[in-house]
Amino acid sequence: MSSPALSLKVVAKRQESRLIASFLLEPEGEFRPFRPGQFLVFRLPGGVIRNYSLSGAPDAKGQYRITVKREAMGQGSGHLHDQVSVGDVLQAEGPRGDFVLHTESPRPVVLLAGGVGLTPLLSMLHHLAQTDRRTLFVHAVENGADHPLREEVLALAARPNVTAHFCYRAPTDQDRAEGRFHSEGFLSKATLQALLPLDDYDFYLCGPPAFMQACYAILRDLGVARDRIAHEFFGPASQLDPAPAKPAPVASQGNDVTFLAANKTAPWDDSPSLLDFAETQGLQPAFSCRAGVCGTCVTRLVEGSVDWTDDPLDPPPEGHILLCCTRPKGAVVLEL
Amino acid sequence: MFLRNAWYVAAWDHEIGAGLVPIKVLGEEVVLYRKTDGTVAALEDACPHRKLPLSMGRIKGDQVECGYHGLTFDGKGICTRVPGAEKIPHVAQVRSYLIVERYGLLWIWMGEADKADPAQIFSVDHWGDPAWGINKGESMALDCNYLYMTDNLLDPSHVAWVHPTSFGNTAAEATPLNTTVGEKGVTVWRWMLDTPPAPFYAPFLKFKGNCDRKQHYEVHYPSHAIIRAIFTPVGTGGEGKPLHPDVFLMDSYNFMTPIDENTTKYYWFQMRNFAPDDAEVSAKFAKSVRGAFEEDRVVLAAVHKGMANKRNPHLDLKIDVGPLRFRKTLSKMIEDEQARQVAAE
Repeated sequence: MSSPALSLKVVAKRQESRLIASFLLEPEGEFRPFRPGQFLVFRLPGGVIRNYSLSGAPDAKGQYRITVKREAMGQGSGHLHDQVSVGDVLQAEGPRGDFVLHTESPRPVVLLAGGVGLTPLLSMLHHLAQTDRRTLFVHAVENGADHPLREEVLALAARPNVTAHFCYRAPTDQDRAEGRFHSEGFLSKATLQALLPLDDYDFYLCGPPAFMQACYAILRDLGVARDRIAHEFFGPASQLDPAPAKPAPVASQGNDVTFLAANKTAPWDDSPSLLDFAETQGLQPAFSCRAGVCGTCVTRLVEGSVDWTDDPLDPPPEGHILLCCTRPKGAVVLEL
Repeated sequence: MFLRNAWYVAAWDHEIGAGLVPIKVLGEEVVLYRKTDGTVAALEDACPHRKLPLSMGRIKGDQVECGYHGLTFDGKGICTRVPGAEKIPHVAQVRSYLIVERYGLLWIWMGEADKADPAQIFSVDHWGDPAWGINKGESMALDCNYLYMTDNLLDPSHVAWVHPTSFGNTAAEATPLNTTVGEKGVTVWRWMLDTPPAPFYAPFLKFKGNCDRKQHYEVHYPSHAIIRAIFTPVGTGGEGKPLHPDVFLMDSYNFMTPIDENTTKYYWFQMRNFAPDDAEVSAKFAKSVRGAFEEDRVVLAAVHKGMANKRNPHLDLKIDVGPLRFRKTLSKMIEDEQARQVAAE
């Protein structure tokens, strides 16, 4: 986390499907290698911070590729799609992330991607295509118009150890005419069963929550052990909550501490830390060490500033604080 | 990842006698042998011809002869003989390592020779002091990365669970820890006041009843530790207070040598401020310490295995502040060292 920011020059921008575009990025300084599955943390204008998985080959020295879906009302993706063009420079940190291909494992691999969730898995596929490990790449999309990077996946599937399977939820007549997909509807237990000879696989899942939940249930139903299934949810984290509250922006004043997501404001009471304060207000932020080393209680500071009571082991990303070792300086607004 | 510009323990002095002794340090195979003047030489354990370990050859005076074709190397690793060749190739040499004998241990320098300074070898207080006794040490191989051992030696809390019958007592569960980050390493310490002495030490105390006890766990970069135990009569303990005449002091020295990323050689001995010449006391401590370290060995091997599973996250707790600060600085030192190396190449 402590690594300095990367300045990334956009050297190419390519539309991959109706809503998805790729950006090829060249660091202005040194290229930091990444592990297949990792992401970069982008700092976009207006304090917007977004993680985008690296979708390219991990050995593509000197260049990163991100592949971004334009989300309705998406501040990050909207900016990238509309405002950013070749020659622009983006600020990012990383590479980061623990959802990475377990390269030492001897087991065959199944990569299950939903929509734009293919990005970290595609990077893994690039790596696996250079090995002899048997690999099945399954990509579930809406139809041919929403199917990014199809040709790239097919080219990798030309390798004898790699098989690709495309599942279209609602194929168009053209998709049917061109035979662009292998199965139709939602990815089913029967489909997976048919694709997977009896074996001990490593599974990697990435996609929207509903897709992930469905795949996970199918795999568990097929008797796959939990620890064989690695996964990463895609999309804003708020999607994981069934009904995230959308509070109205609050004007901060005096020594008030405002918790945006919880829609709660209370005057600071000189608690030992913002974490203790949040707890006395009935919130239950995730924590572990309460001493600035584990990073669990990292939270975005929307407004205001804080004093640190302990040096964090790793400084949090720009605009973020650790609740356990900070106290507010005046009024603060937290994204919590 | 290892810090190379550092002194590590290669062996106990007495382990190097008349033969060739192969060891592995930081993933490198090394052969040790004693020269005729009594000093110890350390060479890369592979003849550059067909890479047969030199430790499978034989000692010829101050030199080593390869057991395959008789190539012979002096204590600096320079080839002095290639049977059958007209001239000795200049490139025929093996790496040699600096060795310094101190505290009955052989210390090896794994980094750049011009940076080696024997003054940087971990210093042992009261060494040679006639008022202090030594619990003679041993060594054991641990099936874990060396950093799990440095974690362990910055963690006074584990004694309550791992060593309940020896070092532990119930106060060890409850009293908060202090962490001091210094230039050479990290110290985690606490005073536990008015507490029953730990079973391991109780029979050796010069006073009866409860005690004030200090645990002082200090680990220096890259992987050397001193654990100071202080037991003093109730009311006489506390930071900065003068030592009581009946105070019990034991300094436990712990030196970890990474064999590779997954195994560690662990060397130890203790200094004590009482019964300096009592062989029975020394033997008793040596035996108990060995027993307690066996308990660590089992736990750490399982921890290494468990932590290798990165799929599910692990927790870091407040008790990990010392170990994590230590790891953070050491990894920065290693990074810097490697960056310098790359820059120099």
